[in-house]
Amino acid sequence: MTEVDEIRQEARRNTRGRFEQWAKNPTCEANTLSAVHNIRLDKAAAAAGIDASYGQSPFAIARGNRFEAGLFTNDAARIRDALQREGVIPAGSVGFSDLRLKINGGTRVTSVDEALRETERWLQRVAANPDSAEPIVAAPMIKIPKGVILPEALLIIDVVTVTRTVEGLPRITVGEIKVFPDRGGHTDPHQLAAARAQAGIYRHALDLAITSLALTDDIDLAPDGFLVFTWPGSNSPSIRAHEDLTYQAIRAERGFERLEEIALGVVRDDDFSADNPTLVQRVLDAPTEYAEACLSFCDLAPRCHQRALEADDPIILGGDVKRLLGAATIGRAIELLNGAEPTDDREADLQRQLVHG
Amino acid sequence: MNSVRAVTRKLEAWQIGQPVPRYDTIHHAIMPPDQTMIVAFVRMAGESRPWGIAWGAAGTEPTVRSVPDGRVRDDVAVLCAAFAEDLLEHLRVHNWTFNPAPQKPELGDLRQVWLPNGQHIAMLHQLSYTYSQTKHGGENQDILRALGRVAGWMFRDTTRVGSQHVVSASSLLGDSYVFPAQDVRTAHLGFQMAWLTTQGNRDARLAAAADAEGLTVSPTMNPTLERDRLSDLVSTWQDSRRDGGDTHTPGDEIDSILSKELRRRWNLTEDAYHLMAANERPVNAGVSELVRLAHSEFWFQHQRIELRLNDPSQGPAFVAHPETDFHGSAAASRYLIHAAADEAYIGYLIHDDPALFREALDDGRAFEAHVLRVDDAGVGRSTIPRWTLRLDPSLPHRLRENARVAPYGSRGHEATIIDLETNEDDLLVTIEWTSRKTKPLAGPLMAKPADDAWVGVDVAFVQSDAASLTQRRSQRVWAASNGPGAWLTHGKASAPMEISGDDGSTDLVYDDVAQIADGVGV
Repeated sequence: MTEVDEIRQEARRNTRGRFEQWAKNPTCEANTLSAVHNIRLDKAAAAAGIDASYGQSPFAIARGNRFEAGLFTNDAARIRDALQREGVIPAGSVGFSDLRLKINGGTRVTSVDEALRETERWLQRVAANPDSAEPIVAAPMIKIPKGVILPEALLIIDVVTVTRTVEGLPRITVGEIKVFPDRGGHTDPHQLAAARAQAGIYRHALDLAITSLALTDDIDLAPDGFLVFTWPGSNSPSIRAHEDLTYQAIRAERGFERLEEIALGVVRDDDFSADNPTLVQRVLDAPTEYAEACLSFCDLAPRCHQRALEADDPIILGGDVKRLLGAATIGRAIELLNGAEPTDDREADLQRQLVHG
Repeated sequence: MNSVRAVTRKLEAWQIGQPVPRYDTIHHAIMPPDQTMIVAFVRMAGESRPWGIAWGAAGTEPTVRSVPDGRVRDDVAVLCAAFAEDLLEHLRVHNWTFNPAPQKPELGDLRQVWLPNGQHIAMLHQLSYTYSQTKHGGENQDILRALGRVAGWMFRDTTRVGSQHVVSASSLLGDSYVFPAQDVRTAHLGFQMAWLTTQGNRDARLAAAADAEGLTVSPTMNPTLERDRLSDLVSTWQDSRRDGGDTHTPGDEIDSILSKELRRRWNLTEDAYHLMAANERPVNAGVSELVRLAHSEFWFQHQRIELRLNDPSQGPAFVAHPETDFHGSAAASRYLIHAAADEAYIGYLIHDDPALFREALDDGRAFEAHVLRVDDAGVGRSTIPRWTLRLDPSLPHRLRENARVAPYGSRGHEATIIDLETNEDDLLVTIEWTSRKTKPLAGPLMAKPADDAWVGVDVAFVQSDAASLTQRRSQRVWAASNGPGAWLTHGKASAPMEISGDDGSTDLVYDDVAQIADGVGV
């Protein structure tokens, strides 16, 4: 039972990553089970005899940690300058609240429970007395309530700023920190999309927290957020202010609801009492829905690719081929291309398209 | 390539068990080996600067160099300075060679730099950020700045359609072949080369491609390699350096690992170069126009600026900001240059590539017509030939009045659609010849447009473009300070970007506004 408890604890902390993993292929049951039960795909792949993924480089981890830590040293001087320069907080702003756990570089918060309590107190204080709000807050921690299937979840928001609306309400703006180099219009679009999606989840979580504390009339949650990247070749932060997170927050809200709905259909009653090896096996036994996107995140993709190859499934030639051929196999499509007699209207239509464009 | 045609080609490739040519010609210049430098980078994960670089002409032994720790700025600067010397010489950049490229070099004088894929090209952008206005580097500062500037130009030029100086081997192979695989996998140079060069049947090629895919080509190496082999060595090297111990042993081991990684990337790229150089398909005749444009871009966007930086009496110069064009006029001008290149690209190539023409036919960007009548609308001695054409109305087309078309195979000739008339069976189109109207067409009759011999002949046309007009607008926008949109194209100066180093040092990176409008030197 100890192992099951550890898994549950880990599951609480890893919500964001699992949600994004699920969103990459929401139609695959194996992927859904993996996300719901927090079964790492590399572990499942290893159990199936597939070489696991690369993991993370220690240099990349060290760089990320160094960058994030540097932002908040000296009363958050480095990020404060950058935020003031981009107009996210007013010039001359003072004050910094550090809610990071000590193990994450914080100075006073020692446990998850303490961080949750501190975050709740901070929100209530800001609502009651906006003048007391520090303009920069590192790592507030939010708990998303347990669903029917999904475990309760913890989200640690990288950074938020607190400013004032024209009506005088405290306005909280969510920020997402990434060590990605900000190369202006040439910044990797996938990295940008990932950062925005994550900020959207944070905004959704903060919205839930403010609502649950009945503070919606006292705190204004900004519809936009800001991204903190690096200036290439340095540890200087590069701020992307006014990133509209409206859609991303809606995506997060609907995504969690959808994940819950789908999970209801695929999760077994005894899953939650099952041990880890049993859950790994259930992920491996679940039906899959192989797509091109799987190559970017799923360690089981080689297995699915091999199965598709053996089934002569057009997905091995790409999503565009699969969409055009539908249920037809590659072999049958080639026969039609070479002049075979179609057996039905669907094949006749496919042949017309393949031969005449 | 339209989607159904692309699917058909993929099925054909799968059937024969190997990649098939995408078009009938190669759409890129392939220069001789001594004019082709191949470059590959590796970098430490999370870092922007290179950890090692391999460079050298195709067909020669490359120079392969690395530093023990890619985070040590001074060591990386020395590495980059060595690379810069050869790169600047190769590209014939003013002040760094005895033989600088002139304003109008011969077409055959093109110097190319081949890199494995787009991520390596992005490293050029990182070099531009790091060095184009650096205040560091000591005795190497000048050459590092020159490297930053040329790397910035190289990177920017790759975003211009039809650029010729910098080649992404992976992109070129992708443009030249259709692979029987998912698109996301065919971006991998090793995967592509295994499909193209492995002997045997489809299964053999498939297996080889899957194996090759497991080896990273990106500048960022496999995290397992960094975690299991390099991490401890780098720590040992750092400790030894701090304590005054033996740095050679760990340094040599790091170099050995990185050299192997660099060589693999460099060799793959060289193999891709040789495969394309020995290709049985010819280079498209229209590529010569692309090369002419590429020479012009190099001169006006880099070489002339280098000349002026070294000799201000030649005229004003500014160092492009690595992020974007902050100066409105510069941005507008560059936008129009890129738009012109984009408009002209297909027009240059389509006349020499039947497969590209067929693709345009499928998309309605070209049409085949039957000449019904030839008239002359000219007055007096002037000649204005007009043709009445009949088209099959069931075929796709994008015809509209005032659209400009060119006869397929006769680039330079041009006509304007002056009337469209449809009935149940026919689409009748009247065109009026506007360019080279007194010169014979290249085919199929070799007769002038006004010649009655065209009546009854089937002639194909392709869409023409307005690239030359767009090109002219790119120059005029600089002077349009009172025109519409001046609020955008003649904006105000912005503040310099302040970049702090870990050691507390600070760099100010000035944008083009500060340099052009305020006369700030960098």
